[in-house]
Amino acid sequence: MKEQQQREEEEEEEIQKNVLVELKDVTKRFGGLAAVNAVSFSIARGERVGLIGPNGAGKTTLFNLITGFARPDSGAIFFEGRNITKMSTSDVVNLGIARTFQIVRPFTRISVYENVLIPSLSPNARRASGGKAPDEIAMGALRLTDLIDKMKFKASELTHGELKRLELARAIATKPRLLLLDEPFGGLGSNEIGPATDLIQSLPSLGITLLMIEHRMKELMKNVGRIIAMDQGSLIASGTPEQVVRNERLIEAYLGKRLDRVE
Amino acid sequence: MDLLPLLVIGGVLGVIYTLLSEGFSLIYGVGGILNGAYGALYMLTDYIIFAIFIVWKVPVLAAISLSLLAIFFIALLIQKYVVARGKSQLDVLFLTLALAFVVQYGVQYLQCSSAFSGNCAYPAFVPIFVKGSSTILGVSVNNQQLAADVVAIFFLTGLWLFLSRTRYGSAIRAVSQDKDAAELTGINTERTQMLTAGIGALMAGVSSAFLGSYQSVDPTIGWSIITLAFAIVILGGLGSLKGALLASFILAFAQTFVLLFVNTLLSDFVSLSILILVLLIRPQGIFGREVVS
Amino acid sequence: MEEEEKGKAKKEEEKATAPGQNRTFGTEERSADVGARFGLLGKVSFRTARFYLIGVCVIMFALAPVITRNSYYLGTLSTIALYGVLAMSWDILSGYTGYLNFGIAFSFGVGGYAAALVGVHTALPPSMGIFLGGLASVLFGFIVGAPSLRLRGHFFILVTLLVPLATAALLQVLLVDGSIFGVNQIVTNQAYTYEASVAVFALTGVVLYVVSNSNIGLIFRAIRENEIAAEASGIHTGSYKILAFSISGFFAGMAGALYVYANGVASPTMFGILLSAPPVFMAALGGMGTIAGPILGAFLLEGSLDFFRINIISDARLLIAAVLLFVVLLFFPEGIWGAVSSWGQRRRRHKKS
Repeated sequence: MKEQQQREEEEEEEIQKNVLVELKDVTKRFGGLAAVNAVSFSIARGERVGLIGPNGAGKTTLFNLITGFARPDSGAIFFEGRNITKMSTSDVVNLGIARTFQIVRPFTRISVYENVLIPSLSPNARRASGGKAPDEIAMGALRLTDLIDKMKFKASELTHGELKRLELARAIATKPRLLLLDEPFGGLGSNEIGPATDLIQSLPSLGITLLMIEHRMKELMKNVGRIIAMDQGSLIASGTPEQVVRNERLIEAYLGKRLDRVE
Repeated sequence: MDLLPLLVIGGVLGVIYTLLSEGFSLIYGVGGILNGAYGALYMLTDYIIFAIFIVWKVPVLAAISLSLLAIFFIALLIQKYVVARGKSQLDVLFLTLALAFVVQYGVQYLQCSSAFSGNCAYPAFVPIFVKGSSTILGVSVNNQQLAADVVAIFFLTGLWLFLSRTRYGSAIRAVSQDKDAAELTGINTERTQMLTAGIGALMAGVSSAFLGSYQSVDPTIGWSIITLAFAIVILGGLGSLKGALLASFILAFAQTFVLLFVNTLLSDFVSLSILILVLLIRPQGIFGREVVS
Repeated sequence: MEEEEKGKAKKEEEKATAPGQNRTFGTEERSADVGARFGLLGKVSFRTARFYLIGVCVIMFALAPVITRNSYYLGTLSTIALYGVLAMSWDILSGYTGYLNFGIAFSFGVGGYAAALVGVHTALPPSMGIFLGGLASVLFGFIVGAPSLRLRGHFFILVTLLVPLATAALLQVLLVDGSIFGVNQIVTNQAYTYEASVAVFALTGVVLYVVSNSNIGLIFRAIRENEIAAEASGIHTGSYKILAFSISGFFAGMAGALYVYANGVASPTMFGILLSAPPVFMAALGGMGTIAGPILGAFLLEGSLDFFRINIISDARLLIAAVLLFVVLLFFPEGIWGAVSSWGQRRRRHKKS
């Protein structure tokens, strides 16, 4: 009996060691409305997880809570075992979590190179890259997102697709272990989707675990191994893409009542 | 500690402060425009009254009316040709501050030249036009200050009605909330902002006309006025007219308290320190929204 | 195949980083050049127009006593130098981070009073006093700055506006006339005052130039452009804002100390709006966020004031200066240097295409 218990404990530990980020019962209210309602889930190292749900489901709020832009009213968030619930944004980033924004937020009047140099100057970038010079880190991120020839341009002069890549480059330059992508395929033209997919698929090989909000289901299915679905602040489904897509509650959430139940 | 003088004097002062700060609150808190020339307009009103009264020998009340009219139009022009040109709040602030200096030094130059009463040593003044004093609750108060309060109350009530009941008032409130959305609903935002600037300037002008007889009128008084108005508006909470009202009285009572009961030398230091502490501890003021830094 | 690709990538990179060629555009230019220091300093090039301006000014200051012995002109020049120091100090904080400090007189005054105490109560030489003035200003600046830098723009403006006024009021209570008299006057030795002003000017110019052109300056600018994005990039903006405030305070404090040594007395007027306002306008006139612009502004504003002083229209000189400032800001909101450098950038872009 003791041996079995020991083995179970060891297994638990193994799973725990693999868990990168964990949310326990996280709730956030705005006024009387619960934007995020008692959400719990965890993501293991190396996973690629998609987050879907209709507009207003609370997905971006969830991102804000994880990255310190907002504080939960109750519940806790753990990253690599550490309680990050009340941490400020820059502290969270320096633990290894980065995010992109749905509506891109570049430093508009500064050049692309300098845009990426700034996150390369963060303490975490220095640490996580093993002491590389910020310049090298920035160039690396620019190379990865294919922005080297736009290096000298001001951010205000980029196209939308390029701005999305810049957003990603800046997040990568902080050398994160967890990357939260908010609609990375949003607004991309058909010729831009291919390179974007390649880029996102290359991230796990850099040691980056992904959590991605995306509405474009086709792209999402190709890029994630697991999907979490939210509706009105609560988690309503979790599983492989095939499982989740067939989930009834989820379909109801997107489309309203099921077609065969309409009076 | 005799509280009556505190109540009466503080109260009388509070009403005037309210008029002064609500004017600034309208332009800045509601309209969102930090206009550095507000104090200069206050100062200019006094000088225009002085000029019309002394130089053209016009009776006081007429001089005041003309001056207020002039200030109203000057504010409109400033809004249209200076403020509207600024591409950002920063630009507008610096531009209006520079303008304030132009006004100040212009007045200073004119005052010292022969065009007016001649030499700098002869200070400008606004004559007292409501004579005598009354006793309220056993405290002696100048009639002019009481008259100022009465006019202020009328003006503020009228303003509140204007903002909440009339078309122009709703236009002002709409523009303050979302300029682009207001434009889309057919509101002429340029004219609305000019109106806001004009009304705000009028409020400064009226305060100036009444207080001019009690303050030394010199070209630099604009700066302490705008500092006062700015502090009150921030204390009350940006964008909140109720807040400016409350903060005006709090400040008036605080200042009077310090003046009456505390070492007068310390009074400046105490009022300023309290202001600073409040700003550091609760920057959103009384009714303001959360200030995320 | 891979080798080829790698080679191509390297070549592209080399094209982009060839020494001497401008590496980046932005509101200022930074060349990949001299002294590559990693980390926070990054690569700072001294081959820019801004640094040339600083250098030219220092040389001018240095040569002036050789050209003229007129004590009036030299006095004017050292006043310009001091205002230049104040304007540059203001710029490294407010021009770069966007946090508008309307009370630089606080740092100026604290430095001055500290130097006064040193001058009256110790036998330390003025150079030590000046240095200690700078330090005192940083210390007190930290006490004031740390809490107020958490506030957003307008609140910060109001707090910085009020603090020096409150300090002056306090001094009026604590000291006779609020002043410290009898500081070892070096004004009789005008040469020393002049040299010291130029030395402080040169030091301020060089240090602030390096800071502004380094990665630290880049972070300051990021704070101005989009503070939230900077936080999201992992930058502890609070620490950097305090750094900017401290650097600004150090040099402004030294200017105050110098002023006190030259005049023999530290008085509350050092905390007045007449000391806080001119550096702000000099920086705005010359061009905020450039370090060079404030120097230009100091020369223009203070120079024109002093030039008119010896003319017949001396009464109107303040008016003329104010009008000059207003007109420039109306047509060139980015200041004179800002306008010139944008024009230069646009010309270069056209030439390239």
